[in-house]
Amino acid sequence: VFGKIKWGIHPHTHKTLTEGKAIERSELPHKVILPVRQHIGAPSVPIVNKGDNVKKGQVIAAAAEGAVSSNVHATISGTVVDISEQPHPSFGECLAIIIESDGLDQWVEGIPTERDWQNLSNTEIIEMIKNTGIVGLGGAAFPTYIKLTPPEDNPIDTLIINAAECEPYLTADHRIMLENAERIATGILIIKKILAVDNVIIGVEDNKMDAVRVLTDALAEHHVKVAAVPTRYPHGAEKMLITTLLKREIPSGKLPMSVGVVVQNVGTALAICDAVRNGIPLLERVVTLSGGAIKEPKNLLLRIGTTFADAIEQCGGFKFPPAKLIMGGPLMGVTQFTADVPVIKGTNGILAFSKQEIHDGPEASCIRCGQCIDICPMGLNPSMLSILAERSLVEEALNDYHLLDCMECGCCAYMCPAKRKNVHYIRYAKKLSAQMSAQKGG
Amino acid sequence: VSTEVVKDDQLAKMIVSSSPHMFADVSISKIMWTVVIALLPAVIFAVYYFGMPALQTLAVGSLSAVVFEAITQKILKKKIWVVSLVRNFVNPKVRAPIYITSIATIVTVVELLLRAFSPVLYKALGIYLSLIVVFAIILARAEVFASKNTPLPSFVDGFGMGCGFTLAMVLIGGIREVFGNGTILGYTVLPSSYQPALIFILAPGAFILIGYLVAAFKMLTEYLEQRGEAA
Repeated sequence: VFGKIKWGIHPHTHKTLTEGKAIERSELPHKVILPVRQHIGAPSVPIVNKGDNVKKGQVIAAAAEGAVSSNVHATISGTVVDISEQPHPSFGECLAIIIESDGLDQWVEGIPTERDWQNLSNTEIIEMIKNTGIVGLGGAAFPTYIKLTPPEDNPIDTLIINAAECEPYLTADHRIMLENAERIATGILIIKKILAVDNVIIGVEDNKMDAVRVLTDALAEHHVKVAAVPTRYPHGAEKMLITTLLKREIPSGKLPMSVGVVVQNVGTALAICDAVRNGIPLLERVVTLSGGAIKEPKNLLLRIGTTFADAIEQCGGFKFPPAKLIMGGPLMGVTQFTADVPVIKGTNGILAFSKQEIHDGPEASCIRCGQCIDICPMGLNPSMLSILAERSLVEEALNDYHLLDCMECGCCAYMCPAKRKNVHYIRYAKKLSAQMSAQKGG
Repeated sequence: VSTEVVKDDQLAKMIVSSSPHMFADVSISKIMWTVVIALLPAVIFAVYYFGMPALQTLAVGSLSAVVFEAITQKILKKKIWVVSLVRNFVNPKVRAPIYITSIATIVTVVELLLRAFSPVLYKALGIYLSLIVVFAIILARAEVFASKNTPLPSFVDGFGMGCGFTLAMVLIGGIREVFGNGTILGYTVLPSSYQPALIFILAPGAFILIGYLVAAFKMLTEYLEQRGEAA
């Protein structure tokens, strides 16, 4: 149906570890750590003080004024015990609000409620999505309300719901599709109403045909197409998904908007349903805990702010000390130096890997085999980029080899027979280029 | 690339690195083994068609590849992994075959060079040149000295051993020639009344002579030691 796909890789998915396991609601954490930066954009500003009593659902850090930002809510009821720099799963350290539970788990007044969303205006709905702190739950965590308000001169004709979940090991989206199809369907209809588009496509990888059937049933009367796309990493990258589903290519450096498309993650649709229909802010999310070092892999519904250590405790702890602890998938995830980091809005998986699972080896010189060029989804030359980056030749990488088009999917490093750390080098070059442009600007 | 950070006991050594954290089970050596397998039919046919010369070409080609890689790595100040690879790879129990293989490679190269530049000498040496491969003293030096030392001392050791060995050969050969034929380097030195002792020219005579020489050297060293103690 979609023609032969030439880019990407087909790693062992290891999804059988958790895909058959129903989502388990986690125990109430005794403590949550809520960083002020859980999204792309400006950090939010704490509006509570040490010693304050907070209720579940209460805003504790408000979105920065006039910037891309998002609210942060208390995810349990209790006392603010500290506001300080804490370990953060993607930024190393970040200002965070620590709440100690009172064990009551009380809602703040007014939540949850019942609303008839069909009678609400778009402005009201977007305001709700903004206030409930919803961000893209696929991992990038871009504030959703901004994506849903494209500029007026940019017509949108298609909404794509990204349910590809192409990262190995992760099954969180798969489980929510199977278990919460009705809420996802409502969420999708809400987004559809806001964007006023007719064409809605849900892109699911064809290793999740059960989810395809469930969603097709749930959305049968609403003209929503559920498309099973070939299982191939990185099909969950929005540029890849758009190309496969619509045969539209996003120009270099542009957003999906430029080809008239808005992409939302399936988990975001679920959160939007809860926020708009019941007024519930983004307090919890499904996280896949998996990998060879975890005793009992699970899909857990975790409060945001729960530490990785607490979450892993509920999976029976570690079998043996892990070689790597990762937030996210094995191909784009971030390694952790401690298990005391909190689950944030973008955390879709927590993986603890044994040494054997990594298949890593000593790095050799590039042998010019060209594998990485064959599979790069963006059509770049990763070997040349990494060689230039090694020598800090940023100008050449930028101008001749389109450094900034790399989305760091990791296919090149995965396939490299010389075990070259291409993504590492490319990130280094991107950082150098950012420093250079900052110097020029200043 | 990756840094190891020490934290609690259980998470003592978690690796922190850039993504990805999963790699395909591919490596350069796997690719090269595939190349080797792909080339095997050509090798088999070459040996079938050209015989020994094809094998010799292969040996020379392989050796020079390894040597030049080692030289390149030396120049680029990289780890010379040919040597370390073999050192780690070779099980001590099977070291003798490895020594013989490496000695055989070197001997083959010398043999080919001799045949090209000095066919007369090559002809005179005959099978004895090839027999160097199983020469006990070379194996002994490889075992006792070269396997435990770096190339330069090993080379000096080998050169010294060679000189000493040459001296011993000249001595044994000289005595055998004098008694067995009455000549030194072809010139008659003993009167014609001397009846040459044929036993010296035959192989057993050499062994008997070596025995006497060893005994003589033993006596000499003992005498020297005693004199040293007396003084």
